[in-house]
Amino acid sequence: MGAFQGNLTYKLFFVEGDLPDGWKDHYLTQINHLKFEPLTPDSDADESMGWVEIERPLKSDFMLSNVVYNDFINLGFRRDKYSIPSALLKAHLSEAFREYREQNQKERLTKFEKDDIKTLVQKRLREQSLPAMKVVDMSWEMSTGRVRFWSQSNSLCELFQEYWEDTFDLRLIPANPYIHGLQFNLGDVELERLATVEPSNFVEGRMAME
Amino acid sequence: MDLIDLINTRRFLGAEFLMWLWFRADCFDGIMEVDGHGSLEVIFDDALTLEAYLAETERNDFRGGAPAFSAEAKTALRHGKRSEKAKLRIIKDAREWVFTLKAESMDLSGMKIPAVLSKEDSEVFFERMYLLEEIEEIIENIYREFLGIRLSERWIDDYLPAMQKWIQSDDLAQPSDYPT
Repeated sequence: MGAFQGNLTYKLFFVEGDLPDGWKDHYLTQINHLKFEPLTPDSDADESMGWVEIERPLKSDFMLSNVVYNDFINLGFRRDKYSIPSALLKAHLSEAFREYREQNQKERLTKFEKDDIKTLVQKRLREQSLPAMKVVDMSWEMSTGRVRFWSQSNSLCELFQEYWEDTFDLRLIPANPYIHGLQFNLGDVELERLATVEPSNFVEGRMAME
Repeated sequence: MDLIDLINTRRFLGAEFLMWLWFRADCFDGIMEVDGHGSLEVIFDDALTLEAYLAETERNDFRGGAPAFSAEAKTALRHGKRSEKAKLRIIKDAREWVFTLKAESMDLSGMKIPAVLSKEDSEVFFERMYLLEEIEEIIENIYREFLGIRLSERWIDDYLPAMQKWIQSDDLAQPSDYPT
């Protein structure tokens, strides 16, 4: 959340590359292709991520009217994850192994048996729980090539960056002192210095690296 | 060096930018001319984090009051620490933005923007984006000015000595302390 309401904490990215011809229809197809698919207890994956409509995290019926807002492309990036507490999983596994050994009169279980039992136990526990949901807004300002992602979590920003690049087939570069400098159309001399300048020592008599 | 190396090795410029901004705000009571935006006020608010370069564990977090004017913050600077994060208040035409600027990434967080007047959802969105664009442009234009100085000979000749003197001084900074 964040684009329409709430906390204004975000990570700024710059878009590198040119929009393809017919980008609206092309991107709508791509967004639909990579839309969020809900997790089910039967699925092998522990997590799922994808695009949802902005402000409507349960919806992913994309049309130009709910994606393109004048100069902006607005989407929600949703990530669901089953997180069964490890102690609970361990306790249920231990009990399931014991029952299987007793029923089959075995002293030891093979790796395959253990894996099968673990899959069944995980499925049973998933059926009793709901995945944790995280939704973060994304606004891409087309004219300036800026993308704002309403989270500063490093892990989430990295996931988002990769997913965004897969969707739009452009490069996304996070803002930082160097990249901001490149936005200013610096001359050759300044660019060279930007790349080579060393940290200053603000305290005379002390080493800068101290 | 590839782009990732350049990004990682240039992160110190963010801290130096905040140091310069602090020095400049101190000299002129926060009043500054910003390209394209005229005269505005930049105030170091009630939160400031100072860290030793390349030693993040050596950190001072100042909360409450006006830490940028405190003797403790100056002492930390004299021990070689530099500003890594600061809560800033920028006032332009009686409109106020308050946010935290993280130096190494230039990330803005906890942003409070001037009151949004629109009622409709889509209008609220466009107004919020307009206000974000405005503050981003202000910060970037100030950063552009800093880079112009930082990448010139005048940084070593004039600005760095003036900032070193400011760090060692217990007196309030004056406009005449800022190199012209």
